[in-house]
Amino acid sequence: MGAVKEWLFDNSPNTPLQAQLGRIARDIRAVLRDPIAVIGLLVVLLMVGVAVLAPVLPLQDPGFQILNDRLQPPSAVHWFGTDTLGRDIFSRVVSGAGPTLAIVASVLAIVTPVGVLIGIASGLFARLDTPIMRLCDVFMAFPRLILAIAVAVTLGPGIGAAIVAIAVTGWPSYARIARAESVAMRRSEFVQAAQVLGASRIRIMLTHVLPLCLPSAIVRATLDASSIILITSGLGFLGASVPPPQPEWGAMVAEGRDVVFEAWWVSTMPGIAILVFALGFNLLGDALRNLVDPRS
Amino acid sequence: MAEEIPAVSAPRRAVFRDYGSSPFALRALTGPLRYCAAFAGRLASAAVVPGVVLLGLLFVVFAIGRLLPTDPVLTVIGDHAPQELYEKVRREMHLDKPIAEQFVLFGLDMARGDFGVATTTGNPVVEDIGRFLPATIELASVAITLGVGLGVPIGLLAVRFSGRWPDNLVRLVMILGNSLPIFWMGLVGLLLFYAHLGWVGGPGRLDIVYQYTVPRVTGLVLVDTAISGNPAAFGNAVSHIALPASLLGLVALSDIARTTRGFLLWQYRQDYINVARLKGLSETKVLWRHALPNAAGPLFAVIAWSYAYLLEGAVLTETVFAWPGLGLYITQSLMASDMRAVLAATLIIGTMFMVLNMVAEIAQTRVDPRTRA
Repeated sequence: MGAVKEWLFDNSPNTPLQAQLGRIARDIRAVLRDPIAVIGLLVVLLMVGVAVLAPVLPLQDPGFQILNDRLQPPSAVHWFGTDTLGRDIFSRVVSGAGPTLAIVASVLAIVTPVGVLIGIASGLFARLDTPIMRLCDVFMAFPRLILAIAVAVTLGPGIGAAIVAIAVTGWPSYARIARAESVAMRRSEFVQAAQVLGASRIRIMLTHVLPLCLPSAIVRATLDASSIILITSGLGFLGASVPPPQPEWGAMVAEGRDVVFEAWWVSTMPGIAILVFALGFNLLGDALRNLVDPRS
Repeated sequence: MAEEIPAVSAPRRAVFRDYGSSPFALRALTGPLRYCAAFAGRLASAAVVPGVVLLGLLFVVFAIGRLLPTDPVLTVIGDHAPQELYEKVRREMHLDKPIAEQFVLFGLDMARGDFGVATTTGNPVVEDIGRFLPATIELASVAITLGVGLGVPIGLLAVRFSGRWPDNLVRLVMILGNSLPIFWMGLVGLLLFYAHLGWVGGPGRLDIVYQYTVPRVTGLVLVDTAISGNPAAFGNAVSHIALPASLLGLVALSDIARTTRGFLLWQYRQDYINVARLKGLSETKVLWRHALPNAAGPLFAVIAWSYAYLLEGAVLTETVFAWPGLGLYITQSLMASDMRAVLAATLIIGTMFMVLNMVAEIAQTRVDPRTRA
């Protein structure tokens, strides 16, 4: 362990690989020194763990109804109480983590690469700049949630529709950030040097400019994860996401809406889950942002 | 960015360049005229971008309307209408024409303000929007007032105690503000402040007792009740708007406070602040005369942007609080698959979004000449 550490943090690395890994290790160490980042990271890991392990955890069946046990307050048997159909809210909250996480991960997997590459292309190639940026304007002019609702209703409820709906409005913000960064690099010396050496445009894009745009894209993605969670649950709340009886946090809050004055736990518990998940990503993202861009 | 400079600033230079060569009287006469001409030119070039965006917006809205699996004709006439009626309505809705022509006709209808009749309410969509929009604007305006009124001072406080515990506290609260699911906060807020504590009014804009006692003048209940001279009704309106507006305001507040802090901290790292301090200016003067004016441009942009965001955030808030605004209108029409109402309302909100973005940009260039293109 000690030798590995010494090798990683060596100030005069012998190979490019060692230098690269050393830099990553230093970044990780810097992140782990910030208590806020560590808290955020732990929360995110906890939620991901819960989502992945939900099928094997010894829980009650989230769809199992005991109508005699309707609207039971939180107790030792039902940690978060039961809902209007007598289903155990704790197991529903736990199994609701899966769909939410799936939507977040898929949206980020679509939006980040697409947005960043489009943004870099727009920043490097002057001819593409105006059309791409106007396209971004169109999608940014749309209220995100409303477009998401419209797309979800168009495609019919389901995880796929929610992913498409959120992704469609998500990429422009990545494109804008990546464009702003790559525009500054367009005439920089290292890009010119690469051109003189005969590197193709694609190569310059991918190997010279892309790595420098990644940090801010990662920060953006982390912060975006929390807003995706909020939009997803908002869609669920309006009934435009995962169809019932599958547990979804936003839909669960909506289910408890009619009984909120008698049975506060039905809406409150899934809401806390949304809050904690979003908060974890926001804490992590905020700490990362402070590292990458001290300005904000 | 450099190559864009001549395009916008050239007409303006043309206005002032000839001043030396023409006699003063002529200058005095033609000056304003020429200024107007140059201004119109600038306006026209400034209108190109929003024009394109608006066209794109129109296109996306149209595409969504056409992609929808429900038959738009059937939502109007119902399932059991005779075939002739179906054909007639289909022709009236231009659905028998080629898709490109449909888009043009749709655009012309929208431009004329002819959004059709909403099937859920039975009124023309324009009338509906006229009725629902003021409620949303009222809610968003009160929220943004709260957000700016509290957010900027909190941001200043964070800068004042930068790096110490008030700063960290503010940072944490801001992060929390960005993580709150607003529909859930609305429910919990109603439970706590309405049901248990009784501090605020419940859902809706007024208690049922006052519902039809106030003449509708502006559509803004706060204004209408104030000018109607009924203090009890006004108090009731305040108690109803307090909770939804503070929740929306909380969302705006966290963005505004964070950017205030961020931009000011950045300014405080610049050399000119040191110069101002070395001159012997007090910290108050350094802040108000030097740092704040330089951070004002982006701050205005963020405020305008937050306002636009509030119009959107109102969708969920209005649903929870049964607030009869555009957001509630959209969701209810969507659930009834009344696409004409949804598309028109989306277009309205999108347009307002765009206008606010333009205002943000203009405000920024007014305050900060460096950002002029």
